[in-house]
Amino acid sequence: MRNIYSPIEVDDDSLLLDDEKHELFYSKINALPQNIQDLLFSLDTEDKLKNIAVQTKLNQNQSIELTRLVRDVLINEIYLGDIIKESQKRLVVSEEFAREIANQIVSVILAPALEDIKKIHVEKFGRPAADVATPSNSKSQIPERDKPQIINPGNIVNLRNKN
Amino acid sequence: MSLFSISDIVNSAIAKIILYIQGLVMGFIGTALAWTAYALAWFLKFQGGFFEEVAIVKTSWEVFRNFANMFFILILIIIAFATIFDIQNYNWKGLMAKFIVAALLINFSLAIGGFLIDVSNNLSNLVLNQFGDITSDLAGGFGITKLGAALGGGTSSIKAVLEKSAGDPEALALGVIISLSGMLIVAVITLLSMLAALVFSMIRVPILWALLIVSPLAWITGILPNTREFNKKWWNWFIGWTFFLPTYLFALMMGIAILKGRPDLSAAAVLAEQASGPEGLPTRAANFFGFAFQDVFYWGLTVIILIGGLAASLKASFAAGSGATKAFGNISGTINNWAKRKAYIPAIQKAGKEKLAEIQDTGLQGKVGRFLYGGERAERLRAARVAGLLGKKEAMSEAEAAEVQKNYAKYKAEGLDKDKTALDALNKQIGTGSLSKFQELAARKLRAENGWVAEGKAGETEIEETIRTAGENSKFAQEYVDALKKNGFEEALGSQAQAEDLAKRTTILPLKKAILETMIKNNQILSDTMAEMVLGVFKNDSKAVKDEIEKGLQKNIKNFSDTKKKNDRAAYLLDASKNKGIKRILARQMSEDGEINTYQKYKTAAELFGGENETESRDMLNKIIKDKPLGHADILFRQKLAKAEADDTILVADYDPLSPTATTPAREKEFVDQIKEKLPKMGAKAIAETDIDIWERPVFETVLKDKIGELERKEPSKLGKTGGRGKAGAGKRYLLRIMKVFELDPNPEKEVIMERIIAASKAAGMPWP
Repeated sequence: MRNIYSPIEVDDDSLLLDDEKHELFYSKINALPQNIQDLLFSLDTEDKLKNIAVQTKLNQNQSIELTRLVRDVLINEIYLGDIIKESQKRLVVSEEFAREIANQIVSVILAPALEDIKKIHVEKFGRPAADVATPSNSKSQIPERDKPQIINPGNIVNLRNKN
Repeated sequence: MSLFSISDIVNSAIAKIILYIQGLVMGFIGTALAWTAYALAWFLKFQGGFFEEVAIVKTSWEVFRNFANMFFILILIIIAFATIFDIQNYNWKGLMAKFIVAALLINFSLAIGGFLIDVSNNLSNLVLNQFGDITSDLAGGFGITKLGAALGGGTSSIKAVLEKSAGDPEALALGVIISLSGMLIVAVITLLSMLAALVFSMIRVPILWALLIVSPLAWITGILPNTREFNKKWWNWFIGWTFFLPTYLFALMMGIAILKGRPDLSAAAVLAEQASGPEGLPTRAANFFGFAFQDVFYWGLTVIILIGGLAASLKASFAAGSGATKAFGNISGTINNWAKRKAYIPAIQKAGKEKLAEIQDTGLQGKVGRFLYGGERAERLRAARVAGLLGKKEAMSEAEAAEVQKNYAKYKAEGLDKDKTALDALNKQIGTGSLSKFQELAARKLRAENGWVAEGKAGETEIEETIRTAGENSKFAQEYVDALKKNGFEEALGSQAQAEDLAKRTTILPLKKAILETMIKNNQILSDTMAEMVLGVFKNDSKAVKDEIEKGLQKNIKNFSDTKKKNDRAAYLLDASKNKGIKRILARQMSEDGEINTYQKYKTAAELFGGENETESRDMLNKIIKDKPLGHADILFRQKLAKAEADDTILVADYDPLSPTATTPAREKEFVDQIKEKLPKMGAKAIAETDIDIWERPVFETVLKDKIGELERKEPSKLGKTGGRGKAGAGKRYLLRIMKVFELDPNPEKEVIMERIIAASKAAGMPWP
């Protein structure tokens, strides 16, 4: 059973059945700075992702998309500056909510390797570093009552929370 | 010379009145005829170049030509795809010539149409010139001028005729009355014929314009088989409307030529009368009967030529069924009917006609149920029986099917195909004697077509009873089972078990076949015994039918209890006791699924396909080479072995190269080399799917272990930091991928071997959770 909060294993069901894609994925990982690789394989990253998903009441599909988003940012597939737009698109949430999730991703998960991430993103995407979102250490500025409703938040029961 | 009696005076007066009235009518018709003839001649000359040069025709034709040109690319693509997919009717061999011709001539379609119209107009003018003075010809033809002259009055008036006839009213006046009556009829027919020619020569112009405008579409639709109907229709209409006119004018010319000769005949009659004198009664009488009869014959001939000419020109110009044919047919029919009524041909009333036709067809039934007169149906069936005796086996079936078809069409016209209640009521009459056999069968066919056959056992009985009534091998029986098949035997056979039961039980072959075909289509063949039965039932059918059946069974084969699992399929294929026909179908499916992955399976399948050199076997081998390298290694090794030791008593397919009784160091090395060469190039999925026979060879395990070790050396796995999961190295990733295949498709025997390989890898330092 795949671990949906592990950036490495989230797509094991399809990657492990395709030698080429699986090896390509690892070749991308091998090309990353060590501290980014550590983030990818860290159990801490999995726990943080799970916490964000639980706190923001994401359903299972949204949680999977969240993990994929973090993975893609870490392996240099998604430009850090596009993280809000990508969150909104992949998780199908409002812009404000996407902004909050992106803020948490950057401040909670990516923070330890943020400078390296910015560096490789600027190298790959050729966009000025100023475009890259800066992590905010402050807590969410959006009052709880103003949070936009997530589409079908309780659609899928997270069996992990049942224990 | 006798004195005038009162009756003579009365007769003479009546004759004068009749002749006077006829004279007036003739005068009116003659004037109308003259005007029509003038109008026709004027119009034909006027419309000469009034076609392709007209601005609206030219501009609109250009629009249609440009529109049609757009489709050439599309047609070229269709031809290309049809050639690739080998669709016979659409490939380049059949269509390219037509395509090129159309592409060239579409730009000249207006000129070609215009040329044909010019030819037609020139022909029309040629005929028209032969008419000369059409009015005087017609007037002369009706004998008014020359008859008057012959009577000595030097005038063409009717009055002169009357004066001359005064001497002998019984003979001459009566003769002239008959003659003038004939004239009157022919004059009206001629007038209608000329009017028809005038009207249609006028209608023809806009129709030909329209046809010229759409002519590019006619050319382009001639390319593809599916659109050729439009092309045919266009040509039918165009040729019809173009050449009708000269043809019809030619027929008119013939009629008028005969009319021209008519005055000499009438004048001869009058002159003969004058020459005979008052005493020549016998001669007069003879002349009277002779010329009166000749007159009637003459008028008849003229009528036949004028009306027949119209019909003949229609046939010559139009193919039957075209709109113009119908339009002309109506006019022709009107003229015919008018002429018939005038000639006092008895009309048969519609109802009487229909009843007579019915009696003629179905016969006349007596009180005790026997046919007093069997009708044409009985004749047809008798003829069919005789034909059957003489060797035409299907004759009876065809005749019967035709009878059923008649009743079927009648029921359909009555709306029974949309009214289940009414059809059920009719069905209840079956077997009571109130319906004929053909009516019963027609009702049953309608029920089958609509899926209204009774449910369950009653339905089975209804189906079998109907087929037996019609005859198992009859054309009707085939049509009936086809209808049932189309509805998938929905009502009668509600479940797979019921369908299987009836298929096994029934002795009616067409029904058995239809049920089995339906079961195949619905994936309801669930055992090899049923599949064997299917192959047996269709064994005498054509190759095409058998191929279709085998294809259908192939789709069902994974539903059989003996062949549901992959391992079971392999065992079935290698089981010599199983039916070869089923095994051949199974081998095809296994080849498609990549399950032919050892020499043994390959060899068995190739034998079932007819040998290793058959196309099907070669295709199978190519697939193995591509997808199953180790299977191919096995095949190559054993093939080589077979060639080296052809007289070996060991059956090559069963030969185990590593068996202590058969092996030699050279043989073992050769096999190991094959595995070593191919395995490292294989992906994890291909390794996982390699046959267990090869997995169980020690060399396989060794080479796989070596490959993983080598991968790990190139890119070792790393332990994670505190709490980390660690990064999988290349060898570990390879193992993970193989294990993923077993997670989805468990294989305990292979997994045991994998456990050993993982343990060895761990021992060599690979971290494994």
